[in-house]
Amino acid sequence: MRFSGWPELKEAFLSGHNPASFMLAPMAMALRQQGVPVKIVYLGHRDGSALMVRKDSGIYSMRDLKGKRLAVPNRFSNQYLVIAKALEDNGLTLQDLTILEMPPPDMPAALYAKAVDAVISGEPFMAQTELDGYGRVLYQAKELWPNFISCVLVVREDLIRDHPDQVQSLVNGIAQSGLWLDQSMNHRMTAAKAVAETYYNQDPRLLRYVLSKPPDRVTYTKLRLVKQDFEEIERLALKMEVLDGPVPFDQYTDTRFSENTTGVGPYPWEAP
Amino acid sequence: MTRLGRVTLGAVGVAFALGFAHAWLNLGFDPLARLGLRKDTEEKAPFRVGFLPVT
Repeated sequence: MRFSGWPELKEAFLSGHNPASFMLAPMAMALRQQGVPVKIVYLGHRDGSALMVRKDSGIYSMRDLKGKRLAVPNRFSNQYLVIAKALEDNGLTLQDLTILEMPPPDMPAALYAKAVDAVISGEPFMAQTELDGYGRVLYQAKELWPNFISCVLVVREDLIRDHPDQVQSLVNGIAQSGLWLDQSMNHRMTAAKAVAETYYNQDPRLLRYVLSKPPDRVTYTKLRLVKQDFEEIERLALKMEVLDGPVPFDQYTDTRFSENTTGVGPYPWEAP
Repeated sequence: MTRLGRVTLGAVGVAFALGFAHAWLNLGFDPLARLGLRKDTEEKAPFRVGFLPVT
């Protein structure tokens, strides 16, 4: 079920309308901290986020962002945390620029209209600014935070309790799809067309671009839950006061489904 | 029945009808399923996974 913004997706998930959801990692951790019975069971992808500026902006480094307006998908996002981390590495803080929360689909137009000076989000909205001729990559998120995590698969605990088989099927499906996608460029191009027309309702050319320029712009393997990755997210989230206090890894994750993907191979499917 | 009695009865009826409609339309209460006239819609609900069209 497709949504345009993270708040709407979160509310639908909380209401039980959809028992599983791809969600921003810090948002899922915060929900759990607030007592919502949910667990992270797998990652959605790695990398695949970029910090974009206008071609004619004269912004070429993090330091150039001082005093500028930057749009992030949500305060509870790793895109927000990676910006905080990168600013800190360059002797700046979040107070040195104006941060705005904005649904990712609105970001390209906001950058084009100069409503903001920079945007950061998951693809394909960042690549859209490049393809349309006015956006430039300042940094890929993975340059600032290697093996960057954005979205995670979150499920309600009652689903895990009552239908663990369904959760495992879903996780296995994502694992197999990811392995299949990363197996060859031909697979990526096939997926770009199918996903653009069937799920995303976007121009297939845009998804082909995202999945190939460069080929590792976004990756779909190594999606198992790794404690160290989440400890780093937690460390930054605590520092930026996105989380109210420490959250134990075991409290907001259920690694059984992730561990059971060991040995799972890619889908044997080939495009006709 | 007195006029006051009719008004009271009507008010209670309207409140009940509104509550019933709210439960049916918004809270997932299915009177047909409760009466056994239809299989519980919960079983037929599709499995939904929420996502934003981002990678």
